[in-house]
Amino acid sequence: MKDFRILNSRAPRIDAFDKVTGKAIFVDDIKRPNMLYGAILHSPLAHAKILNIDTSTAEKLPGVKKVVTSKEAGNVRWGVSPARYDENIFCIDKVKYVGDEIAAVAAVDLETAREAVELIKVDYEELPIVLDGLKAMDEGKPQIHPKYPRNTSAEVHWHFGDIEKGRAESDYIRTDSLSSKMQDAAFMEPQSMIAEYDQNGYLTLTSSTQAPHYVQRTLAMALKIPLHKVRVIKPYVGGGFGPKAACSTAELATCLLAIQTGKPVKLIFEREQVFLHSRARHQFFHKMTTGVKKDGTLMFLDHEAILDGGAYTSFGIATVYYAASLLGGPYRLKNMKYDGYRVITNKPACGAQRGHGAVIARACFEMQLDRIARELKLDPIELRLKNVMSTGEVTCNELNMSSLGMRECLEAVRDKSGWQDKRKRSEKGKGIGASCGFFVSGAGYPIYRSTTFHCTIVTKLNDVGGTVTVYSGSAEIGQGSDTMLAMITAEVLGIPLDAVHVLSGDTELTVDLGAYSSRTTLMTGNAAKEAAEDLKRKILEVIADKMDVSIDSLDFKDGLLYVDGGVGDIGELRREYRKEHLGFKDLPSETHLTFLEASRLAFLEKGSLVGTGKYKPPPLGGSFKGATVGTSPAFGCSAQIAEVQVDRETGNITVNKVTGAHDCGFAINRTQVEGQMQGSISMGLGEALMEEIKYDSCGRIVNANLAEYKIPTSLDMPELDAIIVESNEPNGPFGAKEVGEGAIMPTIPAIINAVYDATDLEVDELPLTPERIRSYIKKQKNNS
Amino acid sequence: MKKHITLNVNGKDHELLVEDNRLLVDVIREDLHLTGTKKGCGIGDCGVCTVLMDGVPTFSCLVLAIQASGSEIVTIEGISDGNDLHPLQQAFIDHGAVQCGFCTSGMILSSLALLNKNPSPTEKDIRKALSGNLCRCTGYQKIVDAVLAAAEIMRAEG
Amino acid sequence: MVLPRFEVIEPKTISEVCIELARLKNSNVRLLAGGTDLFVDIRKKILPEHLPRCSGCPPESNDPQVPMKPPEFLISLSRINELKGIYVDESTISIGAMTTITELTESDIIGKYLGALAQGADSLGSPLVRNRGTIGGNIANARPAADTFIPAVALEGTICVSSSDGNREIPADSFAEGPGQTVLKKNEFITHLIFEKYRNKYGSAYQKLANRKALEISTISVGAFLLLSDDLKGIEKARIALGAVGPTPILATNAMNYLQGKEHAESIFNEASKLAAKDAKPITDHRSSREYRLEMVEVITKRVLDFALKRALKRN
Repeated sequence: MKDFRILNSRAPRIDAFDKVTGKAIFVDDIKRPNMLYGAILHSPLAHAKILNIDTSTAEKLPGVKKVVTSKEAGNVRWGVSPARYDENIFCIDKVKYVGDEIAAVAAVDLETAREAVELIKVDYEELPIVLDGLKAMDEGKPQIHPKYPRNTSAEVHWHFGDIEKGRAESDYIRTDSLSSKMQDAAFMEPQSMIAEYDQNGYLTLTSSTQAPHYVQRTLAMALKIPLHKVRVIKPYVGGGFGPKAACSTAELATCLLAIQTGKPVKLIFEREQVFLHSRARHQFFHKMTTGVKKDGTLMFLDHEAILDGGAYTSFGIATVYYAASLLGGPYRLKNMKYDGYRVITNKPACGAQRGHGAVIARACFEMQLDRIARELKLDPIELRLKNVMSTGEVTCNELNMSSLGMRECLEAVRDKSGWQDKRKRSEKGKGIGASCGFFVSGAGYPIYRSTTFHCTIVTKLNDVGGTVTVYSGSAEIGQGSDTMLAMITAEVLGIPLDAVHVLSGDTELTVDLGAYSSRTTLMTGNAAKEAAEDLKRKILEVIADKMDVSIDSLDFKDGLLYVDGGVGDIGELRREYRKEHLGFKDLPSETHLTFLEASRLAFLEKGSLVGTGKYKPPPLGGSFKGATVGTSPAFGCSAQIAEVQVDRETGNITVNKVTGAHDCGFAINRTQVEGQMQGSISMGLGEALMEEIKYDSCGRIVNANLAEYKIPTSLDMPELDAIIVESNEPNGPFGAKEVGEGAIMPTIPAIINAVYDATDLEVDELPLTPERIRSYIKKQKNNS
Repeated sequence: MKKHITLNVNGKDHELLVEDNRLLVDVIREDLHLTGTKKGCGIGDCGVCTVLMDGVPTFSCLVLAIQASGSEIVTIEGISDGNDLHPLQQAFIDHGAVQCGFCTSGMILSSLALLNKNPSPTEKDIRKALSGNLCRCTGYQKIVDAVLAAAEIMRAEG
Repeated sequence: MVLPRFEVIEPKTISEVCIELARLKNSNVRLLAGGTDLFVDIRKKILPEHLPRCSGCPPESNDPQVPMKPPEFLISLSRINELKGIYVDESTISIGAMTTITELTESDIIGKYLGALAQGADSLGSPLVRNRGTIGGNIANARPAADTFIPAVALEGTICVSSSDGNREIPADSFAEGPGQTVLKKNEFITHLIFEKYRNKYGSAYQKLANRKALEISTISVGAFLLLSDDLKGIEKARIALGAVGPTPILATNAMNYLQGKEHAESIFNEASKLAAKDAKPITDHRSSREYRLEMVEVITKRVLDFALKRALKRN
């Protein structure tokens, strides 16, 4: 392993100081002069025609500056994917879910804005409601969208290889099902935004977003403002996890209010609105039929899935593909068939959430593998090791495993957790289960058709020398991307970490598709590496010329210049630096010339020095329909082992420990990688055991708060052992690839499999609440 | 209808004129411009608005400003001295206990109250003390590590 | 979160509260204790009221529930010292209504004499909720799952209330009439709770069943109190209170009568637990089904009885 000065360390985050002192500024901490406050009118009904909207009383309320409806917003269609632009800013002729946005108000304070919203009168004509995702496609069901007959907004039919051949060659075939519920990302910072529109028609939105770039494009398109007159800035963001990766109605409405009033408008979601508006995890219904040879070799997978995604498509068109494409690995599978349906119902819309459509699908498949293992009398890990792909192999759906440390991850968790011994024990109620998973390290293609670079970086040397600033449109949302950019830049330039500043999250800086599909380390990291190398070369060119040596003999390390590995003849250069610093005390006096001096001299010679970098993946994947979804320049993979205790009388499951290993290619920052693993496991544990959005028969969310929508507390999380595996990804900067989403893949199935080990229960519905476990136990008793 | 109150925040008295229905969290953030205390749910479920009120971790989103008159309030801004951080803050940085940072202020203050009461907490004690402060990013492991480390340092410093 | 406009009155004594409640008898007044339930209750709603009916409303529903008018006045009880404090004398333990849930968990007196209440308090919400919530508020709110109310019923507590008409005492088990409804008159408020102090041969316990380990409202809960005979073999008195299985805390009288006078044994406790399930009247709601709740009453009652017995035997 190369001797890195900064990379692969446990360097503290560059923004941690601001966060622990309360200095870090989030959207709601920002105030502008003459700022107005926005509030939104939501539909109380799940499905109804809008007959009339009367805003006259609301407009007359003192302190109200503007009320807007579809009259002002117009009828431009927008959404996430151009293939499915199915939303307007405000409902025009009908509402499609409880919470659907009808109007917005800007007023001098929040109290007035909220009061005005209550004064808007809307006349509805009710329509029959469709709530059951499994029945939404049935004949005779009311059609919610004019564009989607049978309430199906996307349909996928894939067939790779030949499953009939696979079926014929299988010794054992079984079918299993797993369904889940709609879930929420439950980040701690609710969506928050401030919109400003200046005298020249330039719109600026400051928003708690993960994807300033996509938000910028949607604002421009839906509000009909030229793209170059729209700027989106993200300050510190309190978590994203997917729902913040696309533009929202609230952002559009807030901008519209700013345009109409000419004043800054702030809008902050209450927690209930986070549940109503976040496009979070779909509800999945998976049915998988898998065939194996009696030695455990996988022969085929026949997979059917229905995704209930609520009232609009959002990311759903990608979700329905992800639900199948990432089953092509990490095991060798030649024959895979998939029929997937993304349906529309009268519920809040769903989009992308950590791991996207692959999470529940992975859970179903890994759950099935354990049942196969039991039938074949094989150790579940042995079964997996038998089928695991190797680096360089390509899946049946043309995903290239350019690096795949899956075997290493499995062996690491098996050995660290004491798997063999724990499986032999039979303590009442205790169980241990394993699982694998993997995810893209950045989507291979942007959401809209374009040949754009996925990210660009500009790294500028401070004109006085000594420090550099990395300009990036990328989105630090807590995952540590700013620190990653600083570390890569510092390593390449050979300077201390605190000599690198990062300015990010602003569309005016550079292009970056945003923090989604776990792309930032590989993609933006690559661009940053290129920019740093470019800048370094420009600085060293000047020094090489001045010293009359070859540029290849020069390098920086720890902020010092090395000439052929030594000090070199730097007297002249130092004198030049000192000449323009008369009167300064504490000038550099190290034996080596410092980066400070060298870079300043470079400026004096060339003027402002800038390095640029860019990244775009090569064309990836096959040429079949939907082939782009699931492609990536690399795939991060993960294995986890969960140890549980089941109380058979109450059904309560306690997870006592999770041992996880994740192949991130190369850990830019070891602490950060572990943190992402542990955070992923906590979200997976919550989704496995306690998270579900509950609806009543009117389509209203019953538990739109953090007391009744349960995410794990510190008492619910067990000890988490995080092991880093490094397979050295050729397409990643220094071999690095993702960890942010791959590490959630094994968690739910590891817990399901541990429960299976403890109780022999074959579950088919998530979350595994105590009551659900009890009903499985009772069914088991009745069957025996 | 406004009332005159005196809020003692981070050792300093502030004379304020506030409506009866103003919440402590809003007065701290808007009137005193101390934005380190965050708002996450408004109804006492998440803990990001935690402040210390007479040493007791309290969600400022469910306390009226007038109820806090006469109490000593400590926010995240009040536990460090310039660039000299409290051992808890330093430990959070050193142990990777911070990701998005939104829960951090509340976590640190709840931890501080625990360590003031119990200088040698077990991991279970820490998890229980922090069970009202939700975090979605870290999975809590490194937060617990940081509090254990800070406790050790604080015991050594006496 | 946006609160409606109201005026807050901050009396300093119990008699001032009585006077204010009498003075404002024709106004919309609510008492403010910890505020953890009240503010959440009265906050401005995000969604407009559900219209008279929609096609999804169940036929027997009473939508729209008439929205509660927000209060014009709040009487804050937090500056009244007379309402604070835990006191013990020869025969009684007295707990001020404004005692916080955390203070209950930290009190040696509660831990020693009222174990079920200490456990109930400890399982309530989260540390932040416990630091702010009060026993008076928790009981006045009269939720059938309230974590101090169920133990108070099991421990045969008495709720002492005051008004301008005088004082009266109400047994905890007849305090609630429905979810959120109590026998309190409009001008009355809780000042303290009284419990009988036993010397020895007693034990109590409380357990709540939920999914995650903090910030939960019970699926069901059970509080039990046992007073043993002099030879420690017989049950002189048994009280079992069930939470979240009826519109109010349920006293499992069938189970209690069964246990009275018997010698404790595994089979006796099993039978009592079955009887407790018969006393329960749970419904199905978004948290849980009726069937599961009935099953769990039996399971948890058994566990709580075992725990209470263990404590009674230890305390000798």
